[in-house]
Amino acid sequence: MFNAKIIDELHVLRKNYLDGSVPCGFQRTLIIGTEGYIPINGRKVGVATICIEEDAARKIREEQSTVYYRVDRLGIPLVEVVTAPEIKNPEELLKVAYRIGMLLRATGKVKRGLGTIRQDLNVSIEGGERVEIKGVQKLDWIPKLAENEVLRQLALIDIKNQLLNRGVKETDFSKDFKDVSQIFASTKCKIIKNRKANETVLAVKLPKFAGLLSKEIQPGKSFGKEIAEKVMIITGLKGIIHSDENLSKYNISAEENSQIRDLLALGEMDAYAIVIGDADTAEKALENVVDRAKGALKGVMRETRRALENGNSEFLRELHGGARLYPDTDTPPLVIEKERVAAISKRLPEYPWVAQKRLAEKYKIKEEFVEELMASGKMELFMDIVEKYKIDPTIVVVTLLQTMKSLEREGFRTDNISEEKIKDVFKFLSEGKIAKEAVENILQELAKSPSISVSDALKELGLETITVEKLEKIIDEMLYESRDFIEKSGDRAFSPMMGKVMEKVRGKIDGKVVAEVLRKKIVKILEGKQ
Amino acid sequence: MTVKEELQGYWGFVRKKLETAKVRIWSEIEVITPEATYRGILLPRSDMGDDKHLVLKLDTGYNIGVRVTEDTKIKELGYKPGLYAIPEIQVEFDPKKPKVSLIGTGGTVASRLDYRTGAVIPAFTPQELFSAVPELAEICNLKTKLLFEIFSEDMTPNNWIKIAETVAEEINSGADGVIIPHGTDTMHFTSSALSFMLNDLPVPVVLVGSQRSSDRPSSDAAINLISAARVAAFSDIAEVVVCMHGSSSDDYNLIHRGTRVRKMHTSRRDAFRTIADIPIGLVKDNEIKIIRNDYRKRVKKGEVKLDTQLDPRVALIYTYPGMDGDIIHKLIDLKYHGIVLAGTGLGHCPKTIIEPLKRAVEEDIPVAMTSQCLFGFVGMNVYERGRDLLKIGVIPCKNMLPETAYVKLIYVLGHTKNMKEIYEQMTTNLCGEITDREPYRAYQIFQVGAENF
Repeated sequence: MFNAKIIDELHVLRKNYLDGSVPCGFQRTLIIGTEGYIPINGRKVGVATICIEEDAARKIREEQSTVYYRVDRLGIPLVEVVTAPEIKNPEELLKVAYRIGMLLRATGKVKRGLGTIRQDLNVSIEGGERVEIKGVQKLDWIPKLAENEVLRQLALIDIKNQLLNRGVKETDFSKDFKDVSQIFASTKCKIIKNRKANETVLAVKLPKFAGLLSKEIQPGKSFGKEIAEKVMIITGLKGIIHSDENLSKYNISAEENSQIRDLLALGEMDAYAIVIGDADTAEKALENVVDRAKGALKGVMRETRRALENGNSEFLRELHGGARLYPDTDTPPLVIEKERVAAISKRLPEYPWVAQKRLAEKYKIKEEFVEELMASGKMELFMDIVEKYKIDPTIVVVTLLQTMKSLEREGFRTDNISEEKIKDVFKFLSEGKIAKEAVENILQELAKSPSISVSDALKELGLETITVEKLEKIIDEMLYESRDFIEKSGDRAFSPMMGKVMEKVRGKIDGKVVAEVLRKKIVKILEGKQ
Repeated sequence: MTVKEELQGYWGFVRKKLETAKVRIWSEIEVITPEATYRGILLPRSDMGDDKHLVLKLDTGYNIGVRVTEDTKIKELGYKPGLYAIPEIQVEFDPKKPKVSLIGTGGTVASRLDYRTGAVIPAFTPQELFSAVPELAEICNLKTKLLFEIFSEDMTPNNWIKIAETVAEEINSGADGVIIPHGTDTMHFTSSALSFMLNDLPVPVVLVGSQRSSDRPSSDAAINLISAARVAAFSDIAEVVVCMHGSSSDDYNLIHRGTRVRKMHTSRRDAFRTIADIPIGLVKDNEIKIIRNDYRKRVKKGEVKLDTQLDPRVALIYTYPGMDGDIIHKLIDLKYHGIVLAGTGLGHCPKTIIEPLKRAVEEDIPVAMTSQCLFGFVGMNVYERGRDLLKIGVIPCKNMLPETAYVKLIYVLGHTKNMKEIYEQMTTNLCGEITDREPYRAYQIFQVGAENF
């Protein structure tokens, strides 16, 4: 589907995961294809590699030093599709991501639902570095995330240039942390005053960083905040305070501020950061502050970041290279025979976007409907019903998509209705046993309980079908009551009588049969009269 | 080295192609097939592989196998030899630290990964071990000796003798303790054998292994090795013991008596359990904690009395419903010298094998009865079947484990063929293989951690 070169012999490798998300400590991964492409906007966007790997457990929450994982995803095979860095802009990126999703779904082999297709976004701009953004759950986030990451990298490059202009060198950074607790002996700053007994206040100099910490690097996020986020993730501290901030916000007085500056022997262009925590944690936090600040000299750092809903991202971990891979000794290599590849190639579906157009024309329904049917996995069902029961495709598609959706909105459990039952409903419809108007009511009944059959639902609704004999009996009774009217009106009596009969048997028997029987009976009566 | 020798694992067609292209393992090469072009480092190939593919490590770190046909073109772009050695750490002899000898029997005790090639490099010499497991250097002065490299399932009584001789040699020339890394499958057979053969032990002899190979992050190898080194160097347990994980986590190791330990799980890290008894102690937070006191204590000066007279012609037979007597007859016909039965329940077997067992005893082939229940004593006076077996001369092995009884009969038969003496020896405790009683917690301990004792 991706036009990739299939690897002849697959070798399973391990990638160590030591954060606890994979209990055995490694994730198995293997490359299955290279050098593929996706056609888009009349050109080809390269697919560098396609891999199969095991999913990891997902972290649910953290409590102090305990991490809780949910293992429902653990070990589930996942396909990783890595595109080549050939995508021109965030909009195209969205389209590529969308098409990858469509392609994967078209195989019928991948699971659907939120989180089953996730995007890791890699952004690198000139002068920047490769930054991986993980956990992109919705395609719509992509353009914004990409844009904000570009902004971030540009801002970081700008900070780097300013630092270089100010003449900052790596050697200017020192891990000479000062305990400034004394300065805050009678502070009004609540965070500092209410700290625990074993917690100290540590400060460090950030050479010539004045003004840079408050620089916005992503919408609503300063460089200082970025440093704080990293420290929070690594040490678990609540954050840092730095001299570019409005210190009165913390109730830190000008007096306290200048005392810190004196103690750290700061020049006008220097900035400082303070952290609050027990000695070990505070020290570790400041080490990270210094390291991150020093990293600003290089501009963008290679790292993995977590996507946030607002289009920004936060630090997750440093980015590892491919050098983490080593062979899995438990699985022998697997040879993929050419014959097998050829046989599978023959069975592959066409491009979904081509199929979409073709099917829309064939069934004379809107392309969006086809797309929706494909995305929700109902295409096969749709075609089955239309082909088998010769029902108007529009009725089928409206039922499958819109009726079902509105039922869901009304709180019906549509997942109780199996595909088999949906087929049955249309079968009954095609046989004239139910009227098209009854379909929604029947689906409602079916949604109420997974165990009832379509016939049960009909009974429940009083829509049970009736036999021709029963119909004849009903018609006979009604005709008997209206005998005078019929004799008076002659042939013209048919229409009003048909209406009356249908009122009684609607949904229970095909209207055509009713008309036939009714006509016969009226003729008989009129003949008798003569 | 010639090109030929450097194409490890390649044979047949692909080897010819590689030789013609003059490339070596670790060559950076370009492979052009009719379908695609790949660049990467040529990796060694598993001997089990076919002769149609070569293995490449790509830039991305992934390995792939590329099919080689007549049309494939291979070109060397560069060469950088693979790192197949562990950086060694030189440690000065420290007279204050105990001297521990490590006797290798096969398998990888510790290893390091080379990420560039993805190779797992085994560590064996003290320098390599100190590099792979630096904690060892803080515990003891280490001396290593590689006896053989075999899978533990291929161990034979002759291997046990060789190990026992080497252990005795090391101890009698001044070692303060011995560590024997060993495959886990039959570690409890070897520990039993050593228990019988090494008499008057003055220092600890510790068998150790790993349930997860050292190339996995979940490996128990390093902790087991460190704990074993601690027991060998510092404990006062002058017995043959097994030191393995006590729980599935990394929190403590148990010290099991060599004759009462058994591998009870195929894959868990805490597979080794003391059966129907309580472990001697545990190693937790770098401390040795002793649980019971009835063990042989370390002595300052003493020599091992080595006793390696064995007669390995013994069979260990599991009885089962539907068992036919012909197996026993066959063993007699094959001139086996002894039979150990792992019987059912209190020490029973189907009546179909009574006659053949009777024949065995009559032909002076001792038959020893243990229980496949593992826990509890055989009680052969309780039911008729047991009494019948006793009457024909089957030896009730009390609460000896089947594997231990097998090893012990080999040992006893090495010393006497007198049926009465054999009976005496088999029912008398020599080194903890038979206990007076089963402590009430001995059954629980099988399931529950011993750290609370």
